[in-house]
Amino acid sequence: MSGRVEREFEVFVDGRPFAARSDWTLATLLLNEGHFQFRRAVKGGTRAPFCGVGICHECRVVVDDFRTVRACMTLCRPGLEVRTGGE
Amino acid sequence: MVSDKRAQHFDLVVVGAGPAGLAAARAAAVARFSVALIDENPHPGGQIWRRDICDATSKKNQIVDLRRRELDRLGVQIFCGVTVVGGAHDQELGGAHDQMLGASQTRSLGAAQSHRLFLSRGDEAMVLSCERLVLATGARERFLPFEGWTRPGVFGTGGLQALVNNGFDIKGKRIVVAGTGPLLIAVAAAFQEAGAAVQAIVEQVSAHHVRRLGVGLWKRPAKLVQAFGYMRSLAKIRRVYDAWPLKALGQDKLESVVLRTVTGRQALSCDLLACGFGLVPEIRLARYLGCEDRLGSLKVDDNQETSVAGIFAAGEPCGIGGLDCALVEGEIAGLAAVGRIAAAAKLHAKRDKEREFAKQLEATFALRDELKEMSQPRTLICRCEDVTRGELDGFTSVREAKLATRAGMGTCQARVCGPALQFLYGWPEEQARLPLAPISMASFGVYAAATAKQKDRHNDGL
Amino acid sequence: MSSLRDVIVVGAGIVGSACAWWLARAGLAVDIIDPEAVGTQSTASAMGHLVVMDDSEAQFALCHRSRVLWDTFLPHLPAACEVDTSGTLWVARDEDELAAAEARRDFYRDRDVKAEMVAPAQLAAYEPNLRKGFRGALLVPQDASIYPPAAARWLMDKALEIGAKFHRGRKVEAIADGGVLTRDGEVLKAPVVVNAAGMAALELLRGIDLGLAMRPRKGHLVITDRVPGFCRRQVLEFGYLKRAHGDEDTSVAFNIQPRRTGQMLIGSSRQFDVSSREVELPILSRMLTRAQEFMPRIADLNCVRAWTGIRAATPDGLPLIGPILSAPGVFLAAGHEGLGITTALATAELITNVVMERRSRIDGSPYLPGRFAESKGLRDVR
Repeated sequence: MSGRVEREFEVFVDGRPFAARSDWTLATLLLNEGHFQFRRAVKGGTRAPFCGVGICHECRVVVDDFRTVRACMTLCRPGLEVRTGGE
Repeated sequence: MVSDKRAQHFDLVVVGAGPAGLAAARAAAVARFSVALIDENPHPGGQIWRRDICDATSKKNQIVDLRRRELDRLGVQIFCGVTVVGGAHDQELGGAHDQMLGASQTRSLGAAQSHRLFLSRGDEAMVLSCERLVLATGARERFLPFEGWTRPGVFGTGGLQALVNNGFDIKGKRIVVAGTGPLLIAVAAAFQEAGAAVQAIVEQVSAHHVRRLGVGLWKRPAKLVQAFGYMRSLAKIRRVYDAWPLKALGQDKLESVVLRTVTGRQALSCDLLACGFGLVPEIRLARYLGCEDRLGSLKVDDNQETSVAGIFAAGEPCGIGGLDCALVEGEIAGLAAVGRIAAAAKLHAKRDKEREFAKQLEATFALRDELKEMSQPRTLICRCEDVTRGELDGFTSVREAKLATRAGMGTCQARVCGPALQFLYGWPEEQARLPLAPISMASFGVYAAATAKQKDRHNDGL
Repeated sequence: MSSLRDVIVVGAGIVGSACAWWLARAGLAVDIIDPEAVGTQSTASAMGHLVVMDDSEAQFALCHRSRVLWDTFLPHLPAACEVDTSGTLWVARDEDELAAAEARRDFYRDRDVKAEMVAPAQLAAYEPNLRKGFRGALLVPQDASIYPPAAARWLMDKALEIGAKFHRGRKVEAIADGGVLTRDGEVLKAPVVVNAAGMAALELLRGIDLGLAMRPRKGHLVITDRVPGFCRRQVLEFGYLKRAHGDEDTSVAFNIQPRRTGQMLIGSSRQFDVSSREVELPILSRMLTRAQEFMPRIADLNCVRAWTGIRAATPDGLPLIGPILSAPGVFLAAGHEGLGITTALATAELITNVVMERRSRIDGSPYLPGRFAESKGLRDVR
């Protein structure tokens, strides 16, 4: 892989704009931005993607206000609003 | 939001578009049967051929693209991004099937019973019915808990590879790969290719065990090339045998991992840890549909047919066997499912050889008992509900432990902690219930319309 | 195993566990026996709603007394029991339901149960996710909910602390001849046997015909991922009462309960005479479609897990609590249909009073096991 990957549009994470690509999942986007806190665990502490293939559900984030989705299985789209730190 | 084609019928539905599923779909389509191929991921390929976003022309991508084009030409309907919610055998729904599809549908395979799968894609829902099913659902990783394994920066081995495939930039990152099995080698090589600095490959079996396997590879030239291919790119990476992780440490992010080695504890600084202890056949859907298994692998006959007539299985669900095994079993399953028994029989010998090799691999990388000491009383076993080892000691079954501690009741439906509980306590995994994976409430409305009309004559009266 | 026992309690669900503790507190040597462990059957599937119901005076009396007992323990239950005391909101969709709600409020108030009407304009403040257009609601603020398996374990632990003995993993084949016969062929003797075996209770009574059969009433429930604040208290549709207690084979009625974990528990369904435990997609779909009619935002939630449970129903909807006269020493504590969690404690108290031949706070005659025999031409007599 050479040089900087071309970004296509913006996705908002906790209100902040991140440049994203349509073939990236939300997990890729957040991890590339160094954002390793996806959700809050039951007994405290934060979690990030773990199994990477949609099984563990540790990468849960909330999109468009109420939908809980797996970041590793959800592709970026223009204008998507993502909130991390939920349960 | 409801999909237009809510209910569709095919001669054969193949679940899972990895190597085995692709092979099965092709074999059946070549024989001119109508085939649907479904997968949860956005692209076909499964795990081993997972789409590489970063390198569009990678060998893997080319293989999948080629197969996909062929399937398109053969008229196979590919549904990606779908989750299987549940299924049924037609006698349970009595007649709704025919009424839903219209009398013109011919039964080309003369099945005694047909099968139905309830699928979900986001808010959309779909029901696929078929005469035959091939389950090529692959495998998932076995994770063994240790202190700090829930810390951000700790991934499964296949998991980190999947994220890298999708574009996670690991250039310059220091990675430790730990656990067991050939997968460690494969992912370490991939990480090197992606520009990471792999600090060590930490394998729980002894060097002696692995060398013995190496000797056995003389009988299998193709695998030897594979192995040597890896060997070259990994020559400089430190290997540590008889070792496993004990702790993953760090403040906000992962900073180091403490290993148990033969010479005592050793700490390795790292940014990322990729950790996995082998693969476990993914057989939830199969068991839900009534297929029998033996110690977690589906029982299949010579033609890959399971204990349920008309349901076939291929690849990892029948026992961890690797790529070549998946390819030949997929082909056998696809052929046998559509009645091409003679053609399927020609592949038996090749399949048997692959299964033989698979057994050797399994024996080589068997988990040693000492791994049970990886977790301490305070170690989280169930990540979804934060249940520790200490809280789980003393129960006698998964069910009892679940009710008392909520372990296994979380979102992953015990897919992560299940194999760990089996290894630590000997508790077999429970039978899965519908929904087989979490699904959005919105999609249920479609099932109500698509399945309930004929069966249920009561009016809610609103 | 010691044979110096006073009572054998068959079944370690919440009813059996409660009975074990109450009997042990009365000074009796109690053995409890169960094929599995504590609370693994109907108790494990239940919603854990501690609610006062008013289908009849007898039902109300049992619920109310039991609620009073629960109130004394709720503050002492451990976190695992997930005690929630936010109350119940019964939502009325039309004038009929509103009138019924008001009648209920009056019924409760006359019996010292706090209840008040909520006007339509106020509903959004109580539950923002309720859709608009309801006629009003009845709030019962002191209703509560618990996590039943944990509560059953707590009750069992209490019993064990004061000397009761639990024989887990042993199945009772029959209750007869001054004791119980286990599947592995052992006879355990005791002067008193309390049959709290839920759906299986009547099958264990060899040679005794009480003139009724227990009918299974299957229910479905789902739990969502964690969405704390989605609703603040248990919300039910008023039509629940009409629909749940009618004789239709299959019905669904809206019911949502916020759990301590922040997950929402959504129900409910009833199917008579279906005893297979599989989760049925058509029922689930109906149930969740109905739920979305009351709280549209449920559409945005994920169904993480679904399960079913079997409620043991008697012909008149009241449980069987008390002595079987034709089998001296044998008592029944079963058939609680959808109120097993709520009425477990009052059941335990009633059984203990009867066994100890003490006067009971509430009149036990509506729950007598022999009450069906006469109408069938049988008689439950000594």
